[in-house]
Amino acid sequence: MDVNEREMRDRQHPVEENIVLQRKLWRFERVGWFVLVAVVILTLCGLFSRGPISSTQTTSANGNLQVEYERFHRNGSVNSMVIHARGKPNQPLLLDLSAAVLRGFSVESIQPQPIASSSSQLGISFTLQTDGHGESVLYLALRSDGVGLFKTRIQTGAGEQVSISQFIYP
Amino acid sequence: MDAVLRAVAIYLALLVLFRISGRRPLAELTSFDFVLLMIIGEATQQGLLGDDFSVTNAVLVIATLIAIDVGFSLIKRRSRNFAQLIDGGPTIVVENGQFLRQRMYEARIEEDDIMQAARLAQGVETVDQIKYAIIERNGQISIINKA
Repeated sequence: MDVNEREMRDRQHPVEENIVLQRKLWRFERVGWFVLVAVVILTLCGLFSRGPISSTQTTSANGNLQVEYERFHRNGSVNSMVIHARGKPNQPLLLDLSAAVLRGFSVESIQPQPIASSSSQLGISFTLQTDGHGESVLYLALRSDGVGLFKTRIQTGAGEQVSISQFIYP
Repeated sequence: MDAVLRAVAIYLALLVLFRISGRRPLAELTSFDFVLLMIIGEATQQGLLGDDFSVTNAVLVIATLIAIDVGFSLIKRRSRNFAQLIDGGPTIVVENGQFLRQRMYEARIEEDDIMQAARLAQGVETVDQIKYAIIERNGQISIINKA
């Protein structure tokens, strides 16, 4: 029996030991430290919202609709979503957001104010005014209310569409 | 409902995190440790209460926390293994004047820590005078002298 084994035997006096369990706890502490460091690094990378993994953008097939958003949200936090849409110059432009966005999020602010907005079973519609180049940008501040995965479809009146998936942490 | 879920989640998360941070006796808390604990309290508060600052919510959260705590202590009384899992058990690190170095290494304890505890508690000069040094469940090192 080598020194190590002798050292790791349970003693009964002066205290009753359970060294096997105790060593598991020590190992848990060491492994746990690495897990914590991994969590910190993943947080910096944006796994828990706001970071390179989380902040992203997607563009529709012919590039007339572009959405900047966060893949990961945390319940109760506010994140922005920016929608760039291109249509005919100086014309109203219709933008539809599917209902999921309203179930998962509440819209804290919309800038600029759309000319008109309406909601239906399918979701919410905004009518925007395009500028001289036919471009229009909508800034939304979304507060995360739900928990889980939310898939939203954003669509322009011309039929351009993008689908985005967002996950909200509790 | 979410008051209970929040309290349970925070309780378990803190249990695991403090398990990872290891045992440290309250008496040996440095002032920085103390400040750190207060900041942890601040960080926890929002998660516990959410945006509901009502008296009812506060009472529900506190009731849940105490219920879990008492529940755990009842289970601990019944199961020794569970108690050791939560609190750890006492561990001998000096036996008849000999350091048990592998144990000390795994418990992240230095010779100096043990000798400091020995000097403070018993006025011991060298390790030969120690019969047993034991890391207690609260993280303190207790010293038993050779007769």
